Amino acid sequence: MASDNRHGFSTRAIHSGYDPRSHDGALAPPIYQTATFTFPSAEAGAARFAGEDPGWFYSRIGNPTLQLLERRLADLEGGAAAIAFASGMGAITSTLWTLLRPGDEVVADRTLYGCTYAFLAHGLQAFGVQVRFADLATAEGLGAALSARTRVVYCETPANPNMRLVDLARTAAACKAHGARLVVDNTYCTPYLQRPLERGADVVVHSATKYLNGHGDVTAGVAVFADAELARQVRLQGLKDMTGAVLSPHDANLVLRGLKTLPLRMDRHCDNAQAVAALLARHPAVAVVHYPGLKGFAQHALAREQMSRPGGMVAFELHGGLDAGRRMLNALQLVQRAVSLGDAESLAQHPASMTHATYSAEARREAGIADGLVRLSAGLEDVDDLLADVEQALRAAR
Amino acid sequence: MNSPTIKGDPAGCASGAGAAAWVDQLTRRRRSGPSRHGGAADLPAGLAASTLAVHAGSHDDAATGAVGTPIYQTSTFILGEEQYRAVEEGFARDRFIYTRYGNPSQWAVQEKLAALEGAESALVFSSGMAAISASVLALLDKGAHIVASDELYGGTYNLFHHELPSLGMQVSYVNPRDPDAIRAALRPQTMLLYFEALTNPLLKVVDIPALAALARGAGARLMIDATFVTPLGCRPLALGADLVVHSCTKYLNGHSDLVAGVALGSRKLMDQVWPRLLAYGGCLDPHACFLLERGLKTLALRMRAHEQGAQQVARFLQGHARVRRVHYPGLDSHPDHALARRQLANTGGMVTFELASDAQALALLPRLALMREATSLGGVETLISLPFNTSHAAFTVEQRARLGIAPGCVRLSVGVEDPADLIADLNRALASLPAD
Repeated sequence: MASDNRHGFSTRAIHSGYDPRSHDGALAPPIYQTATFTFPSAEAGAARFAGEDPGWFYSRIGNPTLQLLERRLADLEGGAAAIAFASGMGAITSTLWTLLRPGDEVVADRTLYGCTYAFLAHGLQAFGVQVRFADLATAEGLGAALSARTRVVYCETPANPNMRLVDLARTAAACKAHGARLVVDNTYCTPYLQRPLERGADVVVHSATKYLNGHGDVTAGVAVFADAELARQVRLQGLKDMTGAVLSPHDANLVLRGLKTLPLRMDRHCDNAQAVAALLARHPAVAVVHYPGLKGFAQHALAREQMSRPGGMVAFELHGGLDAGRRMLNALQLVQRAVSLGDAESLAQHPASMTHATYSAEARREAGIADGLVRLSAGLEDVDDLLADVEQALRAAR
Repeated sequence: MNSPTIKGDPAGCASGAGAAAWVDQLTRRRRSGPSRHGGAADLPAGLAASTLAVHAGSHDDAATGAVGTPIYQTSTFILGEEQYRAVEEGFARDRFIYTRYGNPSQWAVQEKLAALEGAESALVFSSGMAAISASVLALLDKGAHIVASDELYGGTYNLFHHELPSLGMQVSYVNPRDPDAIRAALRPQTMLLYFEALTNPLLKVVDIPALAALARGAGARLMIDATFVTPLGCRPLALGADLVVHSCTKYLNGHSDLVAGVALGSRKLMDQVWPRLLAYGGCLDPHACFLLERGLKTLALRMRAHEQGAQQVARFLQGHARVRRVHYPGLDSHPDHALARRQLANTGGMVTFELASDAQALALLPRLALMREATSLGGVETLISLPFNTSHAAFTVEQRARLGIAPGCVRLSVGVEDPADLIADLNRALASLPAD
């Protein structure tokens, strides 16, 4: 292997886990676009199914192109093993369904991506798993929600869409003491900015659709595990027998390609988001800006502690509330009106009516998702062009 | 006959009878493109290169709102009256008929490339050589003479040296740094001056405005291979070149996972190149167009990282006892440094250096753990190769010496890895080299 853990993050994002010499010298890895694999003999096939022979047998369980992506992401996140999925939701459901049994309890932060919230609030409960939503931004919030049946604690940090942070080290320590597993959605940060496993989390999940792939042209997910045995269980239960949410080899290759520029892209996303947040913070039409890189951000010190940079996502509310927010969204010319995030193109959307429409109005209030909140994913454009567009849209929204 | 609405070329709409008469009006201006969306007019004016890299040409799909260009993996398109008329009246390049002629995925990436290069029109090809051969042959007649750099990419040299003479064309090779030699090489039959913006492997910077003036004086066209510089380094059309070609395989795509080329210039000139694309058949597959369009979205970020990495590696090499000489246009020591500062906004990721001998250069390669020994360049991965046994293997020792390629010459394409890792790799390998 040409790269190892002595190398820097940018180098590993390009090289880790791939050796051209074992693939006809091809500099770019081959795409194994195959559903199945032949066995040299019936006995060898049986041995592979029995787990006695590590050879390939069927792409829903394992594929060489997916394996390269999984090894690279495990390396970047500092995990023992990873599994690639067809979507972020595939990663989340496959992992949680493997970890949980009827009668178990989950404690989840109150602010979550809308579909994750729906799975926890409705999907899991239908299978006899109790989910308690708590304010994990505080130590007391977690402490009060834990019970003898708590098996999993689940959070995002920063939380989608309002950017609340969860102290990873503190939460992981509490989980460890309680015998619960901590699952963290690291989509907003990527391992370039934050590595929850290094702070004690057990599993990291991602929508790889976002920054990891980074080009808005793939739907993918990944789960990274501190414990390789747990990864094996999720692969053989949650992925193989329950969700079947396997990633296609072609899409795995596109994610691998996207990862090669992850550090360059994240630095630009952070630069642009910081500039947009600063513009919003001093603009008279803006009531509040949520961005961890602003000194006025309530958890600015925690952001500096656990994130190497504040990320590419900004959330804000205008004085004119929902109506002004809609007018601003409709006035954007360069920034696209679309859900998703982490693309080369800057994207903006309205969480209450779009990504978080799965919440009831009351649940949104409890989760701290204001009706007028606008979410902006800062893209890779030139910062002056991006600021000019945001500024003219704010003017138009008045 | 009613005046037709020709979307691709409204300037060509004739009033009343003889609608196709515009074909012969050589003085009229032509609209840029082809484009489905009004080209650059569709974006706010004055956008910077990194914004164009993301947005130009990548229009949302009108039918579905999908962000970005769908992959039009189709060989052909339904024919209607509009398509028949396009063929009959000479604007077939502005309609979808057959993927070798044009395809929405090709148009999207062509529009992005044209916006970055500041060109009216672009054509993508299945390789850089396909772009070069179609463009060169579009500009030349039998009996034509070319003045070309004596330090050319080997594939181009083979085309010029082995293929063009059999078509009745001649080429003179000149030192790209010597304006007097270039002027002296011009003949009445000279139709084309052909140079690379940065030469391979010695990274000589050619003075494009000076070459453009010489070409204009001779009534010839100037064609620049800008592969090593990209539009982030310089835009030769704005400096007076008539046509620019790139191997998109290199920096433009940037991920070492496709082979493609592009030719860019005025709409008039590209309309002349287009029939050669059709005839020689080097069209770009729609899936490769998608990958190239995707690669271009990070071009500005990658070029900045390539330049920063190369600058650090070049400085390290310059200070190393085993290295005799370093060629990098971003170093003060480079003979063309002043010209580079004037002409190149980004000095790129290529660094060439000299060890004491070819034997030492050969001994260096297996000692490197991170840098890959491979031909090609411009990808995110650092690549290393030796001109004497790759790009310039066909030259004699004497010829190489005449070009300035000293024994021990090593060519590096600095990738976007952590520069400290690249320097550590070189440092380890150089330290363990046996004495010569």
